[in-house]
Amino acid sequence: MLGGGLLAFLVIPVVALFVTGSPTDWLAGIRHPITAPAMLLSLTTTALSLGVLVVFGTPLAWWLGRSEARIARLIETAIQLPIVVPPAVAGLALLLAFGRRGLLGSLLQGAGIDIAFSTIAVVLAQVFVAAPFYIQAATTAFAGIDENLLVVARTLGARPASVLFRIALPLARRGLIAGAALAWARALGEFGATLMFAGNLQGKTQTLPLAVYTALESDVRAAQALAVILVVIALLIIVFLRPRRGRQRR
Amino acid sequence: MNRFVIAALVVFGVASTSRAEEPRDLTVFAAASLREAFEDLAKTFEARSPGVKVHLNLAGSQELRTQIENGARADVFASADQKHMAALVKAKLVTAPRVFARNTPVVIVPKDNPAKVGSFAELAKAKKIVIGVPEVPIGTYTLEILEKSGGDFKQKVLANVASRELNVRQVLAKVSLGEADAGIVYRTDAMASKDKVVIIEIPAKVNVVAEYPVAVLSKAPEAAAARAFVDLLLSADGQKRLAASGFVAP
Amino acid sequence: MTVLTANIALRAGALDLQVELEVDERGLVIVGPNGAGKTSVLLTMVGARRPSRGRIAIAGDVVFDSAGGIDQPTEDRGLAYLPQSYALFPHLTAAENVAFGLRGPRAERIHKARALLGRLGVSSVADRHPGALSGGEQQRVALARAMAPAPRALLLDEPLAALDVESRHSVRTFLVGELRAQQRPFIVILHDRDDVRAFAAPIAVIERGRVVQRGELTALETSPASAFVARLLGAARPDAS
Repeated sequence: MLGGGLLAFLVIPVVALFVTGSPTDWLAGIRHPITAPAMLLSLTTTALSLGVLVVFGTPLAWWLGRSEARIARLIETAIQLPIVVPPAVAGLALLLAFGRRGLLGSLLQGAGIDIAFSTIAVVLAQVFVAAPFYIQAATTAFAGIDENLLVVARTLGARPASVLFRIALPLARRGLIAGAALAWARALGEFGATLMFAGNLQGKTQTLPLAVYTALESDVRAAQALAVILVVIALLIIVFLRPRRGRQRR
Repeated sequence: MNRFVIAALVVFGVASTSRAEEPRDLTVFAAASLREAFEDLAKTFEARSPGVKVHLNLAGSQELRTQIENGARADVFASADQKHMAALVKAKLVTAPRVFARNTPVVIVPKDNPAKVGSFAELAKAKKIVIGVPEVPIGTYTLEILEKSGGDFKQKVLANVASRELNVRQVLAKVSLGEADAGIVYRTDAMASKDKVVIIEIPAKVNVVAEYPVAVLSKAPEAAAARAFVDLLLSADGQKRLAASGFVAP
Repeated sequence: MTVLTANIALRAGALDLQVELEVDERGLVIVGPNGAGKTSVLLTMVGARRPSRGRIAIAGDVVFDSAGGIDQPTEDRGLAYLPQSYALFPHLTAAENVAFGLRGPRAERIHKARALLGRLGVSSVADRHPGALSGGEQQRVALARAMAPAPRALLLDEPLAALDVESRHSVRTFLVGELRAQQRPFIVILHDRDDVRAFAAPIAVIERGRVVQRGELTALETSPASAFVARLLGAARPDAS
C-alpha cells in the first residue's frame, strides 16, 4: 500500500508529461529551432564526458577497488561529494577553479586556454557531477573480483595492465556498464552546474536541459516537447543498459 | 512549491484571524528585482499598520504569474513588466494596475574593466558579453537597444555574446565574477552589486524603460491592507526607498 | 638437493607469520590448523603479499630479498599457484584458461592447451566454461593451466578440499602421479591424513604463524610435536572414538 503510493507519486509526473501534450505539440517541439542544436550538443558532450570518465575513471576505480590503503577509503568517500553538493554550487566551484579569475585561471590563460562559456566547460560540468556514479559502480565491481583470479593471472605471466584488460575488465563488465549508464544519464540531465559554469548559448553550451528551461520562458508546449524527448532518451538508456538481474556467471 | 507554502501560510492566517485581535497576513508577490526595496518597505508598512504581517514571495514575474493563474492566494502583485500584468488583467485576476516604478537597462563591466570598455559605443570591444535570453524581459530589452543603435553595432555585439543567461541575476553574477567582460542588466541589479561592477550608461535615445506595474488581486483576502500597501509604494516615502535601489519614479 | 627456500616474516591483521621452509626435489607438504598462515605463505612466495623481511630463492635465483632490495614481480617468479577454489577465469573456456599463460599466436596456444587437456584426460570439456564443469574437471583444468607455462615450482593450496568423497580418491591418485611424472618441485597444503600419506613427501607443520615441526611422515607419526599433529597423523587419536 505505502509502496504503491510512492510508486504512483513517482510515475504520475512522468505520465503527465506525456498525456497533457498531443503528438502535434511534440512534433512542433521537435521542429522548434531550439531543439536540434540542443540535442546534437547534448549527445556530443555527454559522449565526450562519458569517454573522459571511462578513460580516467576506470584506472582510478581499479586502484580504489583493489587497494587496502586507508587513503583509498578516504578518496572513495570524498569522490561522493558531487552527489550531495547542489549543482549550482558545483558550477560555482568549477568557476572558481577554472574560471578566468579562478584558482587555475591565470595558469590556463597563460596556456591560451579559456574554458568558461565554452563547450569544454559543458563537458567539465558533466564530468564533475557524473563521475561519482561511474567511479562508485566501477569500484564496487572491481572490489567484487576474487583476488585469487588476479594472483593466478599474474603467476601465469600477465603484467598488471594485462590482468586489468584480460581478466578484471571482462569480469567487471556489468558493473562498469551499469555505472556508465547512470553516469551518462546524470550527464544528460545536468543543468545547474552547466548554467553556472558554461552559460547558455545555442549550439555551444545550450544542452537539452538548458533548452527546456529557456523554452519554458516563452513556450510551455515547446518546453514540454523537449522534456518528453529528454525523458524518452533517459528511458532508452535505462532500459538498454540497466544491469540484467539474474545469475552471475561465476 | 512556493504555492503550497503560501497556501499553508494563508490557511494559518485565516485560522488565526478567527479571533479578532490576532495579527493579519498580507501576502505580496513581487518580481525578484524588487527584493531589497520591498523588504524595507514591508517593515515600514508593518510599523505603520499594527496587527499586519507582510509575507513576501519574490520570484521571476513569469513564475509569479503562473502561480496566481493556478490559484495561489495573494493580495498584491508587483510585476517587472507590463506583459504579465496585462495577462492577469485579461483573466480578471487583478484589477486596476498602476505603474509605481521604472527601471532602465545599463551596461556593466567588472570593476577592473579588463576589456577597457569606456562607453556604450565601445561595447563591442568586450570579447565576452553576457546578455539575457530573448525569452526574458531583459533579453528582449537588450535586443531592442541594440536594434535602435543602428549600423552594424548589433551584429558586432552579438558576435561577442558568450552566453544568454536565463535571468538577469545570472548576467550580473557572470560579470561580478569577472568571467564576462560586459553585460546588460537593470540599473537596480547593478546597484545591488556596486562593489564588484562599474555602470556604463546607455544613451537615452537608444535605451528603453521597463515599467513596473502593481495591482491588488481580485480575490485578495486582505483587500484593504493590500490597497494601503500600494498607496505606500506610490507615496513620497515609498518612492524615496525605491529610488535608493536605482528605480526611477513613474 | 634444496630447490626452493623461503624465509619469511609477515604481519597482516591478526596474523604474525615467521617461517623458514626448504623444499627439495621430493616436494613439501604443509599442514596446520585453520588460520595458521598456510595460504599466506604461498601468497607471499608468489609475490601477492609483501613480507616485512625475508628471502625467497628458487633454484639459486633470489626472487625476494628484503636486505638486498630484491622484489621480483609475480609474473617474473615462475611459480605456478593453484588456489583452493581453483580460480578458473569464469569468462573463458577451459582451453582459453589453459592457453592464458602460453605465448605465441592464439591458434597455436589453443592447440597446445587442448593437447595438455587431452593429456590430463579432460579434452572433452575444452570448449566449456568453468561454471559447467564438475569439481574434478575444474581441478584438472586448473592443474593444466598451472603447468602450461612450465613453472619452476607448483604451489597448491588444498587441491583436494573442494572435491566430494567419490572423486577425491581418483583425483588424488591422478594428482600425485602427475606431480611425480613432472618431476617439478611443489608445495602442497593438505588437511587430511590419507592425502598426506598419498603425497609421501617431507612435511612442515605450521601453527599460529610458526613452523612447529618438520620431518618425514614416519617421524611425525611416531613423535608428534603438538596436539594438532597427534590428531592429524598420530597413532593415538584422542578425538577418535
